[in-house]
Amino acid sequence: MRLVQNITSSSRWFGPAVGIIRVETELTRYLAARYEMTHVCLDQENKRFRVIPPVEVQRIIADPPGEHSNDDQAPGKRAATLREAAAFDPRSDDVFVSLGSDWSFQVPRLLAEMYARPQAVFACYDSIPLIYPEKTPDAYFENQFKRHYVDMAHTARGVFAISKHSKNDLTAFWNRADVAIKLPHVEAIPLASLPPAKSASVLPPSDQATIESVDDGSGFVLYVSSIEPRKNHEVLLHIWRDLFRTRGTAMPTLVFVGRKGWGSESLLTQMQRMLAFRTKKIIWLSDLGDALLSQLYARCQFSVFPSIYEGWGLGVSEAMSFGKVCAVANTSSLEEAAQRLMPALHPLDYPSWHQLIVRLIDDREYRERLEADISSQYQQRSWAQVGQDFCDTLLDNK
Amino acid sequence: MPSLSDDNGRVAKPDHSASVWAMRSLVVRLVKPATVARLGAAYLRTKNAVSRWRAEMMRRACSLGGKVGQAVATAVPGAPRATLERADVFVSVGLDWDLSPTADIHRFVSESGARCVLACYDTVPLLFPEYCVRPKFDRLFQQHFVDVAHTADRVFAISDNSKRDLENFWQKADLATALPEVVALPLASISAPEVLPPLELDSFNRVSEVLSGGDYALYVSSFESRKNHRLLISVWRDLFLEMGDRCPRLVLVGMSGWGTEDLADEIRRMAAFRAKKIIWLTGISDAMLQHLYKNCAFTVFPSLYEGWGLAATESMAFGKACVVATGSSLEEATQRLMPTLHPLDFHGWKSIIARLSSDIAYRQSLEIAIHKHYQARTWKSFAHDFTNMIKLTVNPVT
Repeated sequence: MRLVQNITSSSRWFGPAVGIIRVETELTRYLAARYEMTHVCLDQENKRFRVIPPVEVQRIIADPPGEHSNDDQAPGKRAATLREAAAFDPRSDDVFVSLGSDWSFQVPRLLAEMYARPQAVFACYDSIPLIYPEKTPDAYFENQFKRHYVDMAHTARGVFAISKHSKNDLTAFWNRADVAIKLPHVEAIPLASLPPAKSASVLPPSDQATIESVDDGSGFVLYVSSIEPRKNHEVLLHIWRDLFRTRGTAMPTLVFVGRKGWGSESLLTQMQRMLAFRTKKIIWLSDLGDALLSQLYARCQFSVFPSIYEGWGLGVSEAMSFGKVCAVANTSSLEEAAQRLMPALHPLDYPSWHQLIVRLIDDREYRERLEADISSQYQQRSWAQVGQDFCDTLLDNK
Repeated sequence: MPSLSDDNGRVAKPDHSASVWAMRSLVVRLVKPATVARLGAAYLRTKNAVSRWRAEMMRRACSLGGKVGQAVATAVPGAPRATLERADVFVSVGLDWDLSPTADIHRFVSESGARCVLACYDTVPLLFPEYCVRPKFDRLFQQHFVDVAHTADRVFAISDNSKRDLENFWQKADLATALPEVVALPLASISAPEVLPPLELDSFNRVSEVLSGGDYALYVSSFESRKNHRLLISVWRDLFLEMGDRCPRLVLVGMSGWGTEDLADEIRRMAAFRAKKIIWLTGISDAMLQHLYKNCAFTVFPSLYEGWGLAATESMAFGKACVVATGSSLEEATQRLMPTLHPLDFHGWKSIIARLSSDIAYRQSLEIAIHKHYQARTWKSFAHDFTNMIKLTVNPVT
């Protein structure tokens, strides 16, 4: 058996590893340490894979990530290297692992041409484009995902789903689509959480200033998530508007950490005009380094994750790994990510969110009880455990 | 002598229907010879940065069928300078913050010792600056309402809610002046005609297409974030998911406003919209609107904040139940006869919409309540009350 891994997505990414890129690079590291791997990436122009030279693989999966973030030439250099790389020759004993944003590259379709039988292990992050087509950046995602998941059913020997919820969504789709084959095995493997703060390292002065602007003495509540309609920042803005009307500035600050995504232009313009925003009771930060983010997690009163739909919920497990309460939405995978230890509500149930937030702010005992639950019952998972589960259930089982 | 200020020679925009209707009904009332001793109209004209009040006899406005805006618009060239006497009451109930700044009114009125009646439609820009098109609109409004306190002897508010909001604002602003009395005079609604107006072919076809699909719920409102279309969209998404073809229909009537581009995109991509369970109509004439009211199953008005709620009264004038939001003036506008919910209570709205769509007896019980208890107010009766208020304001004869 030869183990091959497609790391096209990571090879094209030069920022901090978040979301899918994070999962792909963590598992690439784990597999590379455990097996002899052949790494490939897609040469899109010629619709074929090329073998990535080992030294370039090391750059792609460097820890900390973003080794080249200060090198403007890095993307161009890497692209040139990969264009020159040797062509990949498929073998009938290959197991082809591909865990990136494969729908954009039509990876299953390419594999169908390369291999006579299903030899791939894919990832399923979520089925959001199928369930909430209107909450994806573009209308074509829905059809792209449908095609991708059908092709996946035909070419996968196994699928790694990042939560039971995502697994159920995928198998429900396959059943609805009436795919006329024996479906591949899907294994739900919960993701890891951020390791606890790498001891309070000294922050650079600009980060220190950010911390001081956030932490004005009345505490703050954290929501770490890109800003797009699905993430439901709106319910929090409504609550903070109301709290501001009744309490003035004597209330915790709401801190959003996340990049501006698609479809959030109106929301952000309006947020910036809110009285609560203008008096700095709502603050929006983006592109933070890990050290500053860790500090924010460590110092917040509690965190929230009211997203309408998720495949997993890294923000939840991150908060809990810092021992912080995270109030979550109950319509997708977030309760699973919280190991069912955290308060969970329908994302659109404003009256209940309002009540819960007020309680978490005012009722210190309640918050401490939840924190005690985290320290006694929450099981932190490392990326090594995720990697081991992945190998045990999807690679070594055959 | 009441004087009536209007819009600097511009025709008021139809979306400010409350102020236009109020002004128009008032003119119709005041031109009747027995109402007041002397009547004149004035408007503020700004030329070379100098503002002067110009006068135009009310006859002119009257001869144009009470279309105040047009009358004033035609009166601009060579109009004589307006004058006030101590026995006059200067009335200004338009969009004064923009078109005839209250500071100018103050100068004009105080020179003569005349009395002054001004208006308060709502204080939305003070409470929710994020819902206003223009940035910093709240500062303009703050100044406006401070000036109103210094200028007016009486203020006409369109609801108890607006009266309360204005008085609260004044109280917080801690003004060094005796505050004017605020009088809440509820607005009237259009009355439903005995026979629906005939429609031109194109309008007829558009209305017929809607009616041919069966029952529908109606929301008549400009499309802007304060109006909370978001809630209805979320409710219909769920209803469609649960009920499929049996899902009730939602008809939205209203022009696209500010800050809703992202939501508009989302709606167009929703499965419920593509299945014609959500229909969005723009460019609807008054005649078409009457047909849509007359034929709907019920109406909804989940707006986050209103100064009054003309659309709710219109719905009731057609005998149709209207579910309204709590928190502002809508309960008042519906004379506390209609079901009310917090505008963000997703589960509450979903369940009442489902009930009103299927439980005919419940719907009828609300229609009977309207028939029995709803007191439709005419513009004539509004103008009568307003005139009485003017009479109370006149300086005593010395």
